[in-house]
Amino acid sequence: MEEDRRLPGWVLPVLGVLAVVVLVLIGLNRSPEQFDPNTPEGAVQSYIAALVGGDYETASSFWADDGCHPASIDPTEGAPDISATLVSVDGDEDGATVVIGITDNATDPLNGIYEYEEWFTLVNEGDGWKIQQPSWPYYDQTCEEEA
Amino acid sequence: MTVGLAGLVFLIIVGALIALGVRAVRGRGKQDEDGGLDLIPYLILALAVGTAGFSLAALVRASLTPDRLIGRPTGEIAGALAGLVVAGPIAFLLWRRQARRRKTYAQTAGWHVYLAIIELVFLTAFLVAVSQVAAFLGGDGDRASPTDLVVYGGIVLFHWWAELRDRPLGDIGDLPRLVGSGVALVALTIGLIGTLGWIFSLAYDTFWGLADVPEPAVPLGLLVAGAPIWAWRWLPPWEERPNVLRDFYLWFVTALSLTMAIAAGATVIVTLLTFLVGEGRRTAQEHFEVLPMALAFLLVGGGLWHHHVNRMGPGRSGARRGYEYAMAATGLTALVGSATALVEAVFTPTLAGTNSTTTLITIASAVIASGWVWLSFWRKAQAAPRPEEARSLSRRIYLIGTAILLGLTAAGSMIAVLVVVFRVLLGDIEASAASLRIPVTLTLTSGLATWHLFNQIRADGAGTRGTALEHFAVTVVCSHPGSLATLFPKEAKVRVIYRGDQVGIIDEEMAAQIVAAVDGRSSLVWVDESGFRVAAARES
Repeated sequence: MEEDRRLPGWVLPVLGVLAVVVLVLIGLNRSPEQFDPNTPEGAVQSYIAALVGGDYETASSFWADDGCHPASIDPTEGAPDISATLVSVDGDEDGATVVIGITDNATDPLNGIYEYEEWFTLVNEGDGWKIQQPSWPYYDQTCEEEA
Repeated sequence: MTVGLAGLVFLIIVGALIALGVRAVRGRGKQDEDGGLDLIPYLILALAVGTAGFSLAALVRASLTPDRLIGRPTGEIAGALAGLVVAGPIAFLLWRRQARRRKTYAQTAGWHVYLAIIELVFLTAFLVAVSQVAAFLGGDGDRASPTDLVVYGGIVLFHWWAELRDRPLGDIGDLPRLVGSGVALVALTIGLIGTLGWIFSLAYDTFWGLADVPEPAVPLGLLVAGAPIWAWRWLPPWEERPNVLRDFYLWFVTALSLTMAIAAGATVIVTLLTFLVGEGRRTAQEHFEVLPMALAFLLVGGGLWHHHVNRMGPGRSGARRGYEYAMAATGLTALVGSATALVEAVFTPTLAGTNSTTTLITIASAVIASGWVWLSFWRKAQAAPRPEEARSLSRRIYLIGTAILLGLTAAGSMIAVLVVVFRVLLGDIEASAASLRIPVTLTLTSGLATWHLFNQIRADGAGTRGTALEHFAVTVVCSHPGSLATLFPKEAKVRVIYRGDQVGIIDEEMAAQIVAAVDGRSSLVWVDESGFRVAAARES
């Protein structure tokens, strides 16, 4: 009797595969969260979107007036091919630190998936949040102090 | 087209490898008529379930994470899918195969080891996820994915269900529950200490002000998650008699919790004493800031010790011996270290004034506490009958292990002394007592302790030799004698009378206790559900 009540052996694996397929479809089709550009995380989102889209002029408009700037507005390795998630936001109305998790899609897949975190220090300049001393993705560029 | 073809070839290769693996494992299983340990298939299963479980968690995290800034999580999904495609089928097929084998061969060690590994890995992952989510909810941590809780918790729950269906039996059958108890106890302890520390800090802050009140989110999360898991894994009655594994867990936790309580108590006393001495340049409010956390450690350590020490049972059980010798070893090694530190602190020359009273009081308290711990536990061991005590494994490990540890320390510090002496003799450096202070003191303290331990080892050896010279006869009435006959010395003539039921089975611990209780005299041993009794027998 107990054997009769049991599910056929193929049911669980099929359900498992279906669940995985559903998760993959959800993951590939969800749009990124749209954060308010007037928040630190929204500013970082707009900055990264501009970099990924190759619009370096717009990206450089998010750099803070004071502090260290890269020598060129062109990123070291061109437009980054990444996906990013928000890790944490910390700060007050004058300054904030935004940490994001980055997955680099351009890396050779046989070398593994390249994941890392980046810290962005932002300052509220009145007309919006600006990034101080941007280093990502300007790795090897000379830092030029602006007067 | 090329990508699709490559994917197809990849899937064919993976499928062929899985089929070959399952075929090979099936063939081996047919030859193994008694079930064996079944360790290798279960270890492969644990690896596959682990890979599949973490891959599934990564996939769920990548697909459902709410705070994506930009792009699609193709990298994360690809990595997770790769893990699932390889490990998922292996885990599924091997799980079904092993479930069928468990029906034929009721209990194999591999099943218990597998459950313990899964419990260790995924219960830990679950509790780490709990702390991350709690930290985020408390506003003091990175964004955490609550989906990890569901995936890891689901895997743990599934294996608890499987364990209830095919309940592990025998001594090693305790392993999954003990591992679960231990992991949950760590979470519970951190949770209790953090929560009590937070409450005491709040009270302290209310009355006297405190610079830094700890955040309660993570401890509260661990307390809420850890307490029911620990209660579920540890508190229900155990089906088997006490065994080596459970004894080890019990004495380890008991000794650790008492050490924690003693260290916290000593901290409280030292804080009071140093305040009374009045050397500190800080205010009373700053001086006693340490008390909230010290009291939390003291209460939690004391509570855990009280609970576990009462579970050891009456008499000198294996767990009690292990606990007492572990405490004696802790006390003796701490005594050697703190005595050396005290000599160094007392004789270190100062540029101005005297040595720090706070430092001296702290180290002197450590000497007194460790000396008291060693003496009280060593005296308890000495009060037990020596022949019985000398044969116990715990005592041998304590005496030999601590003697080796302290002996090596003494030898190493003596080498350090001689290096200085020879360099002075060879005219390389000038004689200076300062450079010799620590190595000489350490040589003396650890050397004395080693000498004491070797004396005890020698006395134990002489004692056991003296009791085993005459021939004697032992008649045992039991259901199964186990390894009893192999534990008696060769002078014993053992006769077993079987009871015909299953209530008087002798396990290894009881066998050792019987041998100790008989103590080389002709005896009649009766074993039943309440334990064993020994009566002296007339020589025939």
